[in-house]
Amino acid sequence: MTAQQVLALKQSLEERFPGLWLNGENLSGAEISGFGQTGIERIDACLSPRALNRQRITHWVGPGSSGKTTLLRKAVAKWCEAEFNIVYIDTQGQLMANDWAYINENHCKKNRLWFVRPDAGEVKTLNHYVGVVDLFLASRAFDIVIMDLGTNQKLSLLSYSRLQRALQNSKSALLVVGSQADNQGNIQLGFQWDIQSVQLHEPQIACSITKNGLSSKTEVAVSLDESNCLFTHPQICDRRSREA
Amino acid sequence: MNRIACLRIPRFAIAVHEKREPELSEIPWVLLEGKNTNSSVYQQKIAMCSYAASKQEISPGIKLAQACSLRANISWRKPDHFLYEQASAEIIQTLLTYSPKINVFGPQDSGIFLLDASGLKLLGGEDKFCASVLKAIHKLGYKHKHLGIANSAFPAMVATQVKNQFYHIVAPNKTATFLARQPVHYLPASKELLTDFATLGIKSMQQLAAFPAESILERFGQEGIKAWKMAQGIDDTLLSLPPLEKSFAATCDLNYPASSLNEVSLVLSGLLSKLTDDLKNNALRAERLIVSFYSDDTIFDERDIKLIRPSNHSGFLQQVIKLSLNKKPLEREFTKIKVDVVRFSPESWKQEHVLPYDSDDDDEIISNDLLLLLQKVISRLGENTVVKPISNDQYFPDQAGVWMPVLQKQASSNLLTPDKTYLKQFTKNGAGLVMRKNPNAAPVMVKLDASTSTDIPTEIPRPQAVYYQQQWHKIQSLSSPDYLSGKWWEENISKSYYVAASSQSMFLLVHNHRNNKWFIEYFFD
Repeated sequence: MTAQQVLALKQSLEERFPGLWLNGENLSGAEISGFGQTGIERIDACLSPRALNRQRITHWVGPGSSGKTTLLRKAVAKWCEAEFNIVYIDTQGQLMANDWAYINENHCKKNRLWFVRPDAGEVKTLNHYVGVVDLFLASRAFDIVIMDLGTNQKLSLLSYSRLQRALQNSKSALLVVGSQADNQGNIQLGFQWDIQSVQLHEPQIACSITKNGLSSKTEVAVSLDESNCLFTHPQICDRRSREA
Repeated sequence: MNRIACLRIPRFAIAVHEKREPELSEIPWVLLEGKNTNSSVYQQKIAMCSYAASKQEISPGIKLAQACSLRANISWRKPDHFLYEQASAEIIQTLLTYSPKINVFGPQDSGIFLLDASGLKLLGGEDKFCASVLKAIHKLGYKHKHLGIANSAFPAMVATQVKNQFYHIVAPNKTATFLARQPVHYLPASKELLTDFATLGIKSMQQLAAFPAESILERFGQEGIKAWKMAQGIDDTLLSLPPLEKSFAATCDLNYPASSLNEVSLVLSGLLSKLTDDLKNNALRAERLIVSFYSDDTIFDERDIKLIRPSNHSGFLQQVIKLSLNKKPLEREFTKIKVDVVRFSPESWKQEHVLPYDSDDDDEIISNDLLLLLQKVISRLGENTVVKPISNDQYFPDQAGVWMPVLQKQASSNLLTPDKTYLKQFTKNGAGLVMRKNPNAAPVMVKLDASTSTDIPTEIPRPQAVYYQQQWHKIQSLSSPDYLSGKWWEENISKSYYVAASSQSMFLLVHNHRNNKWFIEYFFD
């Protein structure tokens, strides 16, 4: 067997049994730099050896209420701990500050977690936000740019090509969060509450992950109990009668 | 049983140079350290001597000027680490036919290769393996080489030092006996430690191994313990598969003669774009290029271009190639061009414009580039659009946090800072669900279950179904309500919050006791 055949065999084994023969660093010889991982074990296992890539568009898709932003927040917390600069463009201004405040206050060290959201009363088209994403990609200051399309919005092909062009000259990764599946980009993560096992104590989120045409499915449990506990004192008693 | 083979090519750098320039093997010559490049070569120290030079009493460590006084016409070479890397890669590629796991021990120019030699019984045995490997290395042009096989890496390396033998096999149960008579200076330890051993009269590994571990740890620390373990044949070095060899090259056949790059700038641009795309896909940057110019399949000019900074930008590479040709124009017309990336390095993902942060006075210093970026965004979207989230010690979800402009230094006086200890205790690394505002938070109809008795303050029945998005949704799961009231000094609020799950979504169902209406204020997303 020649050296080339031996290498081809190893490559083939690695594709069939990922991680058992070679790790990602050996295969690519490239720096993974911690960004490839989302910090959510089950999703990372499906995306082995590398999850998200810089200079690429990754889709984070799910209907209006599907658990996608909950999992994204977990990933953002992990990336903030790794000292990445992140900008989150919330095109419809639906996010709540209290959900994200503790990441900004506890996980960010020298890095930044910025949000871009519409000013009160101002309505801007999606094209305005595409332009802003373009600016952030070109700035080379942010490792991860997250573009949240909100509900019922979709990027046009023209916008995609514009963003792809911007990514080529950037070192950032672009995450497009939306409600509708798209065929652009090579990695797509889809989310949905697991209807069969909707439990309020520990709801499950079903994830379908498509990477380079190959799909896999997994489930991630999240907890409801600890959410949004920003209150540090007991509630002030309402001293008046209920009907007052 | 684990078996490791060690191939050692003594004076590897010398051997590599002599392989490239065979005439060197017949004369005495030295390899310089190449550390102090500003000084004259005669003031540089000798790193390694050829076998012929050693016979003339020239030794490493002396200056080239001193060596010249011993032999006037001695030749010298500067170290070429790229050459050694290439030679190591070539040897690894050759050895891959004999063993799947091969690692270079130490730096690339050490000349020590560790091979996995387990399971050779059915392949003709270890003797046949040694003979095959040595023959293959000889074919590559290396005259001096030694091979050792043992249970672990260190005894195998010592086995290569056995004199007058091309290879030495340490039997599986004879490792301790073999090492016992070997001198301690074979141990891969610091000079200080080896000097200490010599001072204390520890000459052989048997003497070192005889000491109790506690006394070695107390006297020599962790390095001493490592040496002590090795003296007993305990070496936990594991071998791994070598990285795959990559090559990045692009060729373009013009089919017509061209005399300058300007004539083929479009072709060259496409060629380099393809090459840089390939590099980007592998997260690599070019460090060194070889550009070959052909005339009817014959190379007539070859440019070795070292980039001052690694790059995978096609425009930059094109300019660099043009500069090379401007300095020394081509002598003939060319019909084919080939660009070969012979050296590359991993992409650096460090951003060019970092966000400066002065932690001493907790005051942010924003760079001009970033200020300009902010200005552009604000001019497009409006003021207060680039924000950061700040927590606020309030109960109602929409007031428990505020968005503060990133350039604003101090939060509004209306904000109440929550207790950080409390926050860390209850917000466990992003646990919990994230809410999104319902853009259509109009009152919704609910079906109430009159048969259930509840503990909520208003004593209303629990909802069974809710009507939104033009259809009824059965509530599959419903939490007990959180009753919040207050703010009577502004606008009297009295609400019950339920976490509800339908077959499609989870949402926060709110009953406003003031007007007895139901709302879906937030969706859990």
